[in-house]
Amino acid sequence: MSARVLMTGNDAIGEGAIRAGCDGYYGYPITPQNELTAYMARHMPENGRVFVQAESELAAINMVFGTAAAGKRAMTSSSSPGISLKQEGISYLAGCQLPAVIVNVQRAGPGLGDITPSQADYFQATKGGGHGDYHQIVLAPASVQEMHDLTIRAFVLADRYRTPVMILTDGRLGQMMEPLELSDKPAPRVPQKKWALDGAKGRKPNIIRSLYLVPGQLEAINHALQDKYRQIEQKEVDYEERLTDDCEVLLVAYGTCARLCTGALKEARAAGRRVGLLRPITLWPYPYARLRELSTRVRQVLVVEMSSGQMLEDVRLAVDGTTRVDFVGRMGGGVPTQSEVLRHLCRRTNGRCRDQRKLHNRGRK
Amino acid sequence: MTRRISIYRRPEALQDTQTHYCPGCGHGLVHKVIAEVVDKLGIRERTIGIAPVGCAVLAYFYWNFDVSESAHGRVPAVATGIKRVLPDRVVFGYQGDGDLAAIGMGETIHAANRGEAITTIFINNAVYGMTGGQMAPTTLVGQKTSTTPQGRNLDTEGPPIRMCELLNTLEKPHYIERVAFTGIAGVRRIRKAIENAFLAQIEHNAYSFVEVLSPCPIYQRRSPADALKFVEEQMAVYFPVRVFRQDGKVVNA
Amino acid sequence: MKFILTIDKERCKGCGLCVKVCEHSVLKLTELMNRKGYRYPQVSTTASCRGCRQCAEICPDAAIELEGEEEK
Repeated sequence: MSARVLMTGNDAIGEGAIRAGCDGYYGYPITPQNELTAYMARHMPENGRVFVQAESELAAINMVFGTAAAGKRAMTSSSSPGISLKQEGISYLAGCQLPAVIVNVQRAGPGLGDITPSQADYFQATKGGGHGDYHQIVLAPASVQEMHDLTIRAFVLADRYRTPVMILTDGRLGQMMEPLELSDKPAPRVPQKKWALDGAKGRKPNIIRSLYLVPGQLEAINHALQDKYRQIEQKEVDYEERLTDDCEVLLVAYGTCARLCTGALKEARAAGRRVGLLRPITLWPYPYARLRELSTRVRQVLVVEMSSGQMLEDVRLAVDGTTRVDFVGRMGGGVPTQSEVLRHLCRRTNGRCRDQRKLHNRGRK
Repeated sequence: MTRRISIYRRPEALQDTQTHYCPGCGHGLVHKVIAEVVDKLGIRERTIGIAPVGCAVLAYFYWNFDVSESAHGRVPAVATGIKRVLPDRVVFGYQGDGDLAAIGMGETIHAANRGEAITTIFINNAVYGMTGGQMAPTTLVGQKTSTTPQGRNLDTEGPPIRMCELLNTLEKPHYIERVAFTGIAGVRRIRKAIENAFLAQIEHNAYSFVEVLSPCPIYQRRSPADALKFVEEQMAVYFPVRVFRQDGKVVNA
Repeated sequence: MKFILTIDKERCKGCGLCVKVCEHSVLKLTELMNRKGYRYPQVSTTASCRGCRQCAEICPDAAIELEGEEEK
């Protein structure tokens, strides 16, 4: 029997993690995700799972490493500055091929910044962040329901591919409250983990490492990682489209910005403008192919982000010059408005866009 | 008719392989002693070790049980992550002076303070070996290293840190001892201390800490036999060899 | 009981601690070297091992094995 409850985004992540069978949660306080840590502090022990408030975000990601190495489901959460601290640990998780879930409830930066929402950790999440040639899967929820559902998916993907998975969200989604459908489905099955460290009983000892000093070994490991990433790119891309069958302008946005684009979309359509929306759900792997396809039949691609334009670069890569790409962005905790988005829609005349605005209007007031 | 009995042989928990450690290095000795204790307690199949970054980064090739790598200094956090989800395994961290007392100082203290049921084995040889002989938090005042070419200076570098004494101020640790690889008596005391430490985890579900003053012939700049003298005559003077905490009670401050 | 010491000469690194710790001069480093150039100890044919196991215990490389031989 399912239930319908009202929950904040942060709490919904916690509930999703527990229902996904998270065995160990390790966190450290940082605004705006403290509700998640507190939720886990209350509910993990209730469910017979492990909760530790670690001494730092560094310690927390390494506790995650240990639990993952032991073959169990592990999660940590933080916000931007704390996620910076975790980068070394994430690189180690990727190099050791350990499954783990890391939640980034983004806040504005750089540095200590502010506690207001942001999407300026996109590069950090999708292009590396930590050292070395690796990727983590990045999922971007845009509703409280997705905060819950994508957290469950994160644990499944992490185990399926033996890789870290990041939930990239922001303080606004973390704090907002929406109805949440909870099902009574059991936790997704944990695959057998023959590589895990659980005591060398009846088998040879296992080693978890990312250090390979014999010439050629590490290169081979890197090739194996890249093969894995190609597989993930082929199988796990996810996105949502709205009204893209006949649109002339394509909005591209994720998370909080996708929500406001949905509003802008409705308003534009009501005024007779043929606008559509592509909402990436996986930021890595990115829906390059679908975006490329759509860009060949629109006059303008308009990217909306709470940053100086980070996903914008992936959009430009996908569009590859086939059509004009414009940008609406706010930084430092600012959130774009529907009217800003609408103002940037290209006015078409004779099939060519007459809008003379600079290609990268970075949202200066 | 004669028959042969084995009096001493390589422990089963030690891999039959040559180590990369220098002649006379304390790591080789302590790896072997840990393996002897694991054999004696019959816990090989449920022991999980965590290797540091440092000369012992390849320790997982030398033990015959599950071992994990760790980021530099984070061994106690990794150990916490393993022990909390597998509480019936015997989990121990093995660290050098940089890993435990410099970059990992925070993790060391907090794991001890939480009273994680893990065993920490601390190899203190007063220098950073793997990276070429730099100053460690435990380098002695006046000791020459590549980053203290004139000798460690009290004014600018501060004094060496005594880890057993520091952890002894915390409430939760059950067993804390400092031992020293100075000769055969030292080796036997190291073995006893490690056994006590593992038993603190197994029997009392508590935190235990063993600091082993060790030779590093290359960077202590002595022959293996003279390095043992350095440990005994210089290190053990600053770092007293004794039991600090037994059965959860302070026996020496 | 007779005591038999076996030195794994290729495992030995010539640290000399076993020689230092033997109280009966049973072990001695000579000019003989293993493949890596380490001088490994020779077991004396004249001095007799008492089976105290100190050499085997102190060897950081587990290169010494000690066995006892007795009449059945």
